[in-house]
Amino acid sequence: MNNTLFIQKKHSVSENRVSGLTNLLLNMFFIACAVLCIYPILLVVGISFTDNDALRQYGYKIIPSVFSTDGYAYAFSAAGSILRSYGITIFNTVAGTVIHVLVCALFAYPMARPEFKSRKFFMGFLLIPMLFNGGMVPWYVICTQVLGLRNTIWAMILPMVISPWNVIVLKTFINRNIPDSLIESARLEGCSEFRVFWNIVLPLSKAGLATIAFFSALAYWNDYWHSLMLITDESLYSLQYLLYNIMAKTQFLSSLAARTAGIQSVGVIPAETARMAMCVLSIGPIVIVYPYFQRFFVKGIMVGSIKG
Amino acid sequence: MNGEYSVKAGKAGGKSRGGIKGLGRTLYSDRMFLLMILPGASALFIFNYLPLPGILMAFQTMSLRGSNFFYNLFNPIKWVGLQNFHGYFMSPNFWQTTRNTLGYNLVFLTVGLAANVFVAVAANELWSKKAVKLYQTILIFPAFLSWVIVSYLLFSLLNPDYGVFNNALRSMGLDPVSWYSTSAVWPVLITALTIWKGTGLGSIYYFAAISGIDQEIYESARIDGASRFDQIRHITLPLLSPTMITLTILGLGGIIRTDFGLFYVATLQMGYGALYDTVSTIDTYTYSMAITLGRPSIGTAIGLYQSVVGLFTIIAANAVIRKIDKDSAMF
Repeated sequence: MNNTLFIQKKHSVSENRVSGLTNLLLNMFFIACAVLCIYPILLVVGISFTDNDALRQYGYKIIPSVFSTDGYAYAFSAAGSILRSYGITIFNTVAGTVIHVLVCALFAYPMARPEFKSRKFFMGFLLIPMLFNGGMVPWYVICTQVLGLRNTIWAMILPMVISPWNVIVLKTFINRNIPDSLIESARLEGCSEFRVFWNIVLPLSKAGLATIAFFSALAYWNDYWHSLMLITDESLYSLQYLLYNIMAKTQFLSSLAARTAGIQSVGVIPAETARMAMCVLSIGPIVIVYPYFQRFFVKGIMVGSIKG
Repeated sequence: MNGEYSVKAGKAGGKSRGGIKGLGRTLYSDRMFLLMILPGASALFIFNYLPLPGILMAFQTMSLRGSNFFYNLFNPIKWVGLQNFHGYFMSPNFWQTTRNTLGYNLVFLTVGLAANVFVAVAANELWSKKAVKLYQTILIFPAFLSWVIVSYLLFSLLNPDYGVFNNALRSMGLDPVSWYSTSAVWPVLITALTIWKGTGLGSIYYFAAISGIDQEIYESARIDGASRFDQIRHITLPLLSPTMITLTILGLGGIIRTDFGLFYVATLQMGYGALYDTVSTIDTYTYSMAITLGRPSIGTAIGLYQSVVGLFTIIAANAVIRKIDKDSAMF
């Protein structure tokens, strides 16, 4: 008895938590991590607002040695072709996300209904591609020779309209949040299956839909792979692929191969500040929507991590 | 397309009743659901199942020219048996790319595990829950940048002439390093990039697992005289170990695959870089073979090798997880 009292006395002064010093050290650790995460982005912003000559003289600085908006002026000029690429990327992102969310939701709802008799078959159909695929080359040949997707805008949209992972996330979400009784009573009222889907399932799955919409929009916005495989027409360059190409050209010019071959030019390459300005412009929208969607996706990851 | 699916669907769905009548009845009662699934199923079929016969290219001499792919596939220039595989497996590229692929993934899994668990445990110990939210928001952000963007961010640090790293080296009186042609530094840089981009999201799983731990266990440990560090060592970490094991085994399932963007784009290999020995993986090699060098048959063979190994590792990983924790198994 005496012993317990003693221990309680010793601890009751403070809560059950680490000491103030440890808390301070941990906060310093996290602040350091946060700086590491943000610093490269701020650095690129700094470079983008620097005068190009000053850049060559003083090197990259987070605070511009000589302030200039020339980089942005070039990016938005016709030669920068960033506006067209912005248009392509926005179209891909909006159209792709809408189609993706609709296609995945239409797939997920039947999968969540026990009365759908072919459910098991389609679950297998959905999961097999996650386990085995034909690899890059057969996929490439189907896209180019059978579907004729090369140099069309659909090359950047159609290959990503469905994601088995997102279907499973949505299916789990529907199973958890929409009671069977609600769907059955709607049917008794004479609702068709599509009406049940449209008027009951979709409105009640908003948080789940927002999660996959965010991830899908991000995937479309950030996609350069499908352009790399299927797009050679410069008028169809998305923002990411435009940036990819500029970097590739820059690197090629500085490579040994180009130097020995005496290649002087592979077309116009924007100045460093303009390149960094384009990079900033492509991060911008993500920074803007990110805080809003953050609350959805942490929940979404949790749902996804628990298989339904 | 519709008919093809319906027949397949019927086979599985109607099995219990048997016969064509049962199959028909199943399809009829499922008809609205089948209609809903049709768009997604068509996309899956076209982009994931239709390419499968193309695996035959691995056993032929094939050129990407010509228009009728399926006709060419079954009437190739020449069937060559395992020659395409032989060429790859006998070359030094096989060992180099496979070693890099497996080696990097093992490093990512171990360093990533340590980083994720440390960040999650440390975040849980912070006094202010608002600070936790803020740090998490910032730490997750790099995950949402594409590898193209990351290549620009990294370039601003590594640019040999104006980059921050070389500026710092010069100001300390040291010789600048030409980073993009010094292959020895890239294993460290690539691991750092992976941790930088992945820890924010990766630690969330562990953070969630920690918040699921019953607080009374901690309270009773405290009453017994355990310090907060004792509690982490003897309560938090042991209770996290199922999550650690599950996520690590899941990661091992993907050990033969790498992120093309990390190894090809972030390292600026698209300009014919000089880092081949430390940054080439099976994925980047397949791309260079098939697309850059125009050798589709060899590319298909390497892709098939990767897919088959990948299938076995996933099945093995899943079997192990089923034994340990049935709920976490994928199938």
